[in-house]
Amino acid sequence: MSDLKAKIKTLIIETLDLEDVSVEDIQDDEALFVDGLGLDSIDALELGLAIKKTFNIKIDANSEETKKHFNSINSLSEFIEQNQ
Amino acid sequence: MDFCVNIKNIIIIEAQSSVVNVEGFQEKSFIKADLPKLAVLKPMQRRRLSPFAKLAMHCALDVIKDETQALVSVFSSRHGDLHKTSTMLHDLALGEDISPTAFSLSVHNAIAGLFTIFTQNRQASTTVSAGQDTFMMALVEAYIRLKTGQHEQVLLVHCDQALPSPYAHYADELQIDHGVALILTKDDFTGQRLSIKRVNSGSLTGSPADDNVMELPQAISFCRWLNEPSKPKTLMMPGHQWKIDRLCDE
Repeated sequence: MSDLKAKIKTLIIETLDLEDVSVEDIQDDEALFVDGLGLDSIDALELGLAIKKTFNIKIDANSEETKKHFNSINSLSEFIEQNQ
Repeated sequence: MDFCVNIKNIIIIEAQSSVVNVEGFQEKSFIKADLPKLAVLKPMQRRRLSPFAKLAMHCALDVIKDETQALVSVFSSRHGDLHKTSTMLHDLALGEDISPTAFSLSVHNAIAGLFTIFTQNRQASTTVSAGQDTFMMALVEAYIRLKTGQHEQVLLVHCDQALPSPYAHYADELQIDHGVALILTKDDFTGQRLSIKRVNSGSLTGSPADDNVMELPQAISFCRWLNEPSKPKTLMMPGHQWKIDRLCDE
């Protein structure tokens, strides 16, 4: 697992208070929202804010592209790498 | 104001350990490890609950655990989730973005919302705040619900915490984290029947904050008294504006 992916997973767990979830429980290609990890729209906003603060990245909340970036750990880490 | 209520069931949780706050006063608050665990909820439901929400939710879920029907509810809090509000105001003042999660659960009836979602309760719900009189006004609200509505029982949930440090200076009563929940019923033969009167006390001069001795929050005085049958038949509430009597076999 890359350092960035591990960092994103830890960020998700800490930011969203996922008390019973560990880094190993989150799969790189698993859906973060609804079916996979079970996150919801408030989580999306909270996670967006945390990523913005941690990686100093601007996120457009209304774009369809953003939705795709937040699909999984893989897509999030790609998005962060491209924008750092 | 003069009315009677029947208390069928009551749950109280209050912090026991004292610490000295920024103003040099004793306060009692829960450390994280001592907060209710709420094992009955799913982890995904539990994770967003603040300490305030945990206290209120614990009492509410515990008091209704033997109920077969969803109850109409009255929630009350003098300050609401002020630790959360205060953190958000702090972030705003520094020009930082505020937490969407905190914001979404910061309205005064957030606990009522969560509780009714968790228990799939579609009954009416009111949330009350009325300064030092908050708990008594919640009792009044619950009484009104019973008196005017179609309902046999009402759930009352009250919660308050020791003030966050930026507000500690304004304390006018003892600062103790506490949650209480009670079920009031129309049925005269169940539980404890109480007579409640609002009285004009001639001895009350100035505001209670002028006194050197701070008094207990109303909900704590009420519950401690109710849970201890050996205590006197009459309770004079802090502030001496309310007189409550046990009515036994009359």
